[in-house]
Amino acid sequence: MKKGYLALVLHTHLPYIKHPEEDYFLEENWLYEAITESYLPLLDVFNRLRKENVYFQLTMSITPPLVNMLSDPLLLERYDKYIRSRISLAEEELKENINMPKGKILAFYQKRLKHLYELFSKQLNSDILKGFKELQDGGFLEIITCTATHEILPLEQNNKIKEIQVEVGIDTYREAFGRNPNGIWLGECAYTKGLDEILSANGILFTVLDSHGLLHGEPPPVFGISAPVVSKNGVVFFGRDPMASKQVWSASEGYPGDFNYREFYKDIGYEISPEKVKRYLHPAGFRFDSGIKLHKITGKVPLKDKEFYDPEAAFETAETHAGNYMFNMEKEVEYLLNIYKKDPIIVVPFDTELFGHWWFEGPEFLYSLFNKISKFSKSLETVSLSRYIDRFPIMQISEPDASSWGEGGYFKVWLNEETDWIYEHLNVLGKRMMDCSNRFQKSSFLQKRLLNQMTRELLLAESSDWAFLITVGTAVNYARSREIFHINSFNYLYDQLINGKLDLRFLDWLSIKDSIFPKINYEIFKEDK
Amino acid sequence: MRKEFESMLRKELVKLASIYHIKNRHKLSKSELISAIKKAKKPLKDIKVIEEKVLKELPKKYNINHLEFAPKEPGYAFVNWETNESQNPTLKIHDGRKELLSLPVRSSGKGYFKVTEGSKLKATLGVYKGNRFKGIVSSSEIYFPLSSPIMAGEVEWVNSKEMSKKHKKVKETKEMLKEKEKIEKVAKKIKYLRFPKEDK
Repeated sequence: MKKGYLALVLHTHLPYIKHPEEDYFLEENWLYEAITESYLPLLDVFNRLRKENVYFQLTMSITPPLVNMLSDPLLLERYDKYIRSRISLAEEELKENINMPKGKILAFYQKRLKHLYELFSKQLNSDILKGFKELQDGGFLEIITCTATHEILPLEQNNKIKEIQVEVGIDTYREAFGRNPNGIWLGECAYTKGLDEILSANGILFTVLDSHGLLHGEPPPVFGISAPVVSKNGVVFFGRDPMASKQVWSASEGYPGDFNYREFYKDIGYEISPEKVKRYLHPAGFRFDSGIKLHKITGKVPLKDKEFYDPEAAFETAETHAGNYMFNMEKEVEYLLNIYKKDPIIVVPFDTELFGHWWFEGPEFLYSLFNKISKFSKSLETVSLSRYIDRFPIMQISEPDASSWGEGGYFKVWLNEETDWIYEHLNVLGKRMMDCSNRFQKSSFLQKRLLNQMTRELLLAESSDWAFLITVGTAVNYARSREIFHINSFNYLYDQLINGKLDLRFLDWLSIKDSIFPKINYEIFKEDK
Repeated sequence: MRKEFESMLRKELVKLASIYHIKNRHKLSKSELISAIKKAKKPLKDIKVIEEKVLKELPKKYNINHLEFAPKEPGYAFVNWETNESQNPTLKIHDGRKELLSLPVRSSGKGYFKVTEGSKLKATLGVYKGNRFKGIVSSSEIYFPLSSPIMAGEVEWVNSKEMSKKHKKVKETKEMLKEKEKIEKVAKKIKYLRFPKEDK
């Protein structure tokens, strides 16, 4: 029987956040929450599937900022402390509520957190990347790279910097995973004509775009988004299937809104005593999410009326939803096979943090989905993007159009009246960096250090995350201050370099604080390279 | 804070020790480094002062010529510019042959302009010397996306592995050629279904 292919793509990215100057820094928790709720649970379910000899394949991008954070000793030590504090909190709460209705849920959390900590500290020896690497080496997971700091490349003024973003992404991947990546995730799937030339020159075989990037291509793809296309420069483009994705990510129309699932917005961090907040969350008594959430969505009711969460019922629901999703995907491939008579692919990319962090039962959903497809489906198979290209290399030539997967489908999320002040600085800094790398060809050891740190500050200033956060209204002050900090730090170092007055203490401090890309060499900016 | 230091690697502590100008830092053990850093912690305040300064304000002007030209969404371009020329400049948007906009502007500013979808354009900032326009700074060529598909172009099929520089060239096997023919046949049929006018 002819088959269709389901290609799940998990995009794993967080902005580079490291604050050694503070003992506790709220935004650093984004990483710790993602590790506890998404990365470790996903590794856990993938390893379970592997042990049970279930055939599954998926693609996952791990971005350079995240690779750097997951390799940073200070952040990993802090994570160790974070998860142990959550275990202690769950234990204390359990002790106090052992005979209460919520005792059962607290026991569930205590067991789960201990299990995840065991996975992190003993099995992985704090090396989360190793866990994903092993799955890649085993043929289950295809890891792809991303641009250096998730920059929106169509907004970058300088072609040389577009190339550097791609090159640094590949170098970081090679360092972490010991091989070259086949594919790249372009920050926010942002693409414009001509980028394929850079990708191709760097040995990149494929990337993923939003559906209209392919559908508006020249010529339009005959098979729509159910087959990839290849550009004249030899880069393969897969198109996101918006309908198949929505069913999974949408809390209002998709599975995650089911009333049995865990309620994200009711967390014991806002309910425990001030003493416990100080002991387990923040010594200054700041309240925020602890990750321990005892209630289910229940229905469209106020937070105070939410009922207690039942993990068993929720996981059963996840299994039912996985079955339903498999059925829907089977119907879609059968329909496509009927029209196209060709092996269709359904590409469904998501932010990795959807699974576990936002949708607590997401990893279990994936476990059931892979299990069911492997055991019961006659018309559907999961596939990594490289494997699909290997099997079906004959494709239509088409040049995709400029697009992104952000709201509106283009670039207004990152370029609007709230954020457009950023781009003149990025342009000037980029020019200054190139100018310096050409001028300081025979630099002293200290000048080299300074130039390398300027490179880090520039790349961090180019992160799409700061503009994104400003536009969506999340952590706006933090995002704005980070953008300003990297621009000003660059300029501060630049002035020192030009005036020949080096402030070593500041440079030392900055190289600990913004220690991303430890092996970066400013010479990548040399134009005659 | 001590606990925090303990979680750091010796290598990181040595780096930190250099900030405090701790002598013989490379010879000190981890615990000696922690004690020495704690004793010498005061100067960090100076760095905090610099950091706060760094956080404060962005440069209002760079006093150099620069121009940014970027696609926001189909039909809309963003332009930002600054020049240190004494004469008020003119901003032009053009496609190399045809001028789409010519606007006298201040020495620095920004704006959003309507442009044609699917076009490749450049922006140039310059001054008029008499009737002659002299460019000061130009953007590179920028592509502006489409909001809907264009139904044009010839459909061609290839073996993607042959095109990729990453893969070694492969010879097309009989099966591949057969598959290619099959795809072309289906594609023609689909094209007929989708765009009947073209095939009439």
